[in-house]
Amino acid sequence: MKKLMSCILIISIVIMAACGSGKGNKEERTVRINCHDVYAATTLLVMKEYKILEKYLPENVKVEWVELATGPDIRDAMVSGNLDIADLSLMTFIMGYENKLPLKLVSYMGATPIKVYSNSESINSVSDIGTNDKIAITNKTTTLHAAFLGLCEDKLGDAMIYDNNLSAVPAADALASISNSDDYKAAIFSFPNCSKAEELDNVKLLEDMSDVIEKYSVGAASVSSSEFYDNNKDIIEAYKKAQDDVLNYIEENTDEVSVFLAERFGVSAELVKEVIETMPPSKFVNNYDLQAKLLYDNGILTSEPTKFIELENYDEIPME
Amino acid sequence: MKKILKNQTLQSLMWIILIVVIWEVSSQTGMVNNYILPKFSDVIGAMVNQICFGELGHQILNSLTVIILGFFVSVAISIIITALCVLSKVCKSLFVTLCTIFNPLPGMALLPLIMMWFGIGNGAMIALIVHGVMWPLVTNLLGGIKNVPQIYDEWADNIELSPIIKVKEVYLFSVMPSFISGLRIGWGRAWRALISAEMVFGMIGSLGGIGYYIYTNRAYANMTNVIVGIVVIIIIGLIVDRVVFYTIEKLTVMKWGMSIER
Repeated sequence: MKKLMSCILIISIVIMAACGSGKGNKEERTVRINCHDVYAATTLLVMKEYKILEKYLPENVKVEWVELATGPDIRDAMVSGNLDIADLSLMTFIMGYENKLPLKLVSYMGATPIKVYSNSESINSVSDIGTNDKIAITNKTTTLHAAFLGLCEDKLGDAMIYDNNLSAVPAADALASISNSDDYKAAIFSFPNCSKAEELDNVKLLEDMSDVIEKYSVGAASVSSSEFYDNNKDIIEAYKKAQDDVLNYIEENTDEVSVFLAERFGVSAELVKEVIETMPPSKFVNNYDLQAKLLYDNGILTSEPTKFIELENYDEIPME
Repeated sequence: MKKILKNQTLQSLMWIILIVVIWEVSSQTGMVNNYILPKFSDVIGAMVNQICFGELGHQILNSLTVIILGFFVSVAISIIITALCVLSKVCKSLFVTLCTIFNPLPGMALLPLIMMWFGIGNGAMIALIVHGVMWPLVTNLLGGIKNVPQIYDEWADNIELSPIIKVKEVYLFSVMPSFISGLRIGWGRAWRALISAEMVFGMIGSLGGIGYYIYTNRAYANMTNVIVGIVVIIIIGLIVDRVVFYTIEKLTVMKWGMSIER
């Protein structure tokens, strides 16, 4: 019995050692990138579809695409080391960075059309929304939330006036609810859901937040965990080159990209093309400080935010 | 030491202190990332601050208001259903079947339907609580009634007790342990479902509740306040179980000599 147990133990150790040493001749690396089906992540969607990143990555680096949908989930996955690069709203990045999370801004990705709608006859502008009226939104700290804060700040003088009215609900459920019931008196949608909302008979447009989006740089950014950024500079450089390639590709092949995105979003290619032409993807952040100030002035950030120019990797962030 | 070994409360306290010490040491020394596990001292400081000066106090009240209201509705419905089951075999057959089907169903699985049927206000939350409390309570009440010794029933009939007196003097005493047990199970389910639903629904009423508090602070990357919310949920759960239900038991089943607890 003792000899049998000894043999089993030795064989187990050998097998485990063999498995452990199976790293191959060269060090293999994997970059885990989050990309979900939203217009603001068009850069990543095109990069993924046309395998553009793979052209620039060093040898033996594989890409693993992940699809987490909400900002806090993505952010927490990066902080815990389970995600390397992600599409995060700039607001989520600012919140995380100011809370001393190990994140770095790689580049901007672009904005998306965001609009406010209502199904109530008594509500004809955002200021008509009542204290107890629910407003549907996909989640807090999204681009939708940031845009709405900016809108309330500019038009009503108080960014937080309706913050307690916001109710997180998936866009599809919000569309169904706003068309069939009065649980939600208003809803905030981004493209392509805003075009779906516009097809509903009893729903009217309250505000198009394009001005606010531009003013506060409300959009998505490519963010990396600090550890990954510092230890994989070659992959980060490859990512930036791929992003340049993607932006050129979108500009030169707008029709083709429109058809690709239209299939994903369930809208017409003409509509997508119109959006690409009015709000094209971009790698430049313009008003980072204004958005950070908006969050600080309204108590969402509890300490004075870091200026854009003082970000750790400021010199490496693409500038216009 | 002997006193600790005999007293479960002291033992529990000792374990809690040990967990807290390990928590604080591991986060102070940097063994654990302070974002993933903020320091215990920071959590306590934030809790005091949020309850005294922040909105947490109001949100605790909001959650408790909704669950207490839901509880009253659940108990009322459960008593009516149980009475119907006692009076009618057809009703009993129906509700035993419904209990078998719905008892194992988590409230969160029903949430999409509840949202469609009851909207997204307090009505939906109360429906969720009723689902969590009612089925185990009815199951326990029916089980308690079934276990009433037949000789008590026959004795009550022999001395011609009126139905109301019979319910009060025979059934009430007999089913009380099952009733409290059902309430305890229902409380646990309803509390969990309520907090989860608050995290999903977002704002309910004017402030949202503890679940909404956790959801918002997580969105804003404030993990200290997230843990404050979790600790508050645990404390409330313990208070309800060890104080509220224990007091009810002490005034009823223990007083009547129907409990094995001393």
